[in-house]
Amino acid sequence: MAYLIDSTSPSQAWVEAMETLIGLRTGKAVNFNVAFPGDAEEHPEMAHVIDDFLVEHDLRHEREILAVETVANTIFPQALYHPHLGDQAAALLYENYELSMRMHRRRKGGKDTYFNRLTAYPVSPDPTKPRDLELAPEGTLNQLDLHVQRMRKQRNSAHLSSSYEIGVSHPVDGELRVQAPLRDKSMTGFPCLSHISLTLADDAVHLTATYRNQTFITRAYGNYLGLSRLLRFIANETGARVGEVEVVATHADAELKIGPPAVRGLVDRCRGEFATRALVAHA
Amino acid sequence: MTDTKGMLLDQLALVRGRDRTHLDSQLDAAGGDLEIDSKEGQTVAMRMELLLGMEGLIRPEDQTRTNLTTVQSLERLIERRRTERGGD
Repeated sequence: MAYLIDSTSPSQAWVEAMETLIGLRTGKAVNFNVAFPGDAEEHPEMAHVIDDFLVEHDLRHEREILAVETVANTIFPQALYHPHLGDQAAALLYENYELSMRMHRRRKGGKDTYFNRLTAYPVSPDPTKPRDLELAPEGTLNQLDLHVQRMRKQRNSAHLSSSYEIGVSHPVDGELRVQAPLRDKSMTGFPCLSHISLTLADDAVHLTATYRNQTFITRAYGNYLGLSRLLRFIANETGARVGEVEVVATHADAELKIGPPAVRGLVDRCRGEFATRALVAHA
Repeated sequence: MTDTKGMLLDQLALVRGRDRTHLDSQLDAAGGDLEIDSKEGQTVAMRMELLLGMEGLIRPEDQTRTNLTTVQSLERLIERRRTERGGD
């Protein structure tokens, strides 16, 4: 059974999604869709509430507690993007991120990040094809830059809406994926399946992200923030308006194994943060 | 040994796309230290290694939130590692 949470902000969306999931016997669902405006206000207080919960319950991933901001940073490193630099902003972001990844690999070995997959996807360019070598001179493809450039052109020409698919997982990671970033350069036709899909419609850019599994306490809120920031970056770099974020969890998990009363308490606290903010905003 | 703090601030200014004077003003206003994001910390640390010609200066175990998220803590870390290596 599919679900759709259509909300007003990533924070409100997370609360509504959790309320739906914990209302289910297992706390799990398939085809779980959550949508919110990409330019909605962020609520740092909610990230703090979730971070405190992660610490309180010692929810580690590979020996580390991943704070909401850390999860968001793996999708888009907000601190390295400086829009005031105009045309130079994206180039500096890519350069600085590559440097930070050298340090990251020293600690994490070959463990990749989502943003690195967006900007340095491992490919094997065909050395006989100049376009391949131009796109991936070092055996990595900056998919994000490719689509920003493509979308910029499309805004002023053919207005193709659905030609911007970004793959995150690699075929050898054990997932079925259809799109091959360097091979599938055609702007129309097959393939239409991917992990991040960008749509340019009515001069707004929208983002759909597909997760094969999404844990809602340890990841989802950080995912929402990171994806919103990624969409704002793309919109800013292309000159389009910020549209909607939709996150499809083909398998969603409220992580009730932590203990249903504790999880319900967390959702109540987050909802409380909202209620307080709403009262202050309307006072 | 060359001025670690000055070099570090130059690199942070570069990472933020700002003039050094802008950063100095922020530093003064904040009482002599600045919080930095952990990704900024990693980037600045890598830039410092390249500038000093000391790749591998920062060890995997050094990359903690405490070490990477303020100017002063990153400066102290780099100073300590440079001293151990007999920098400059």
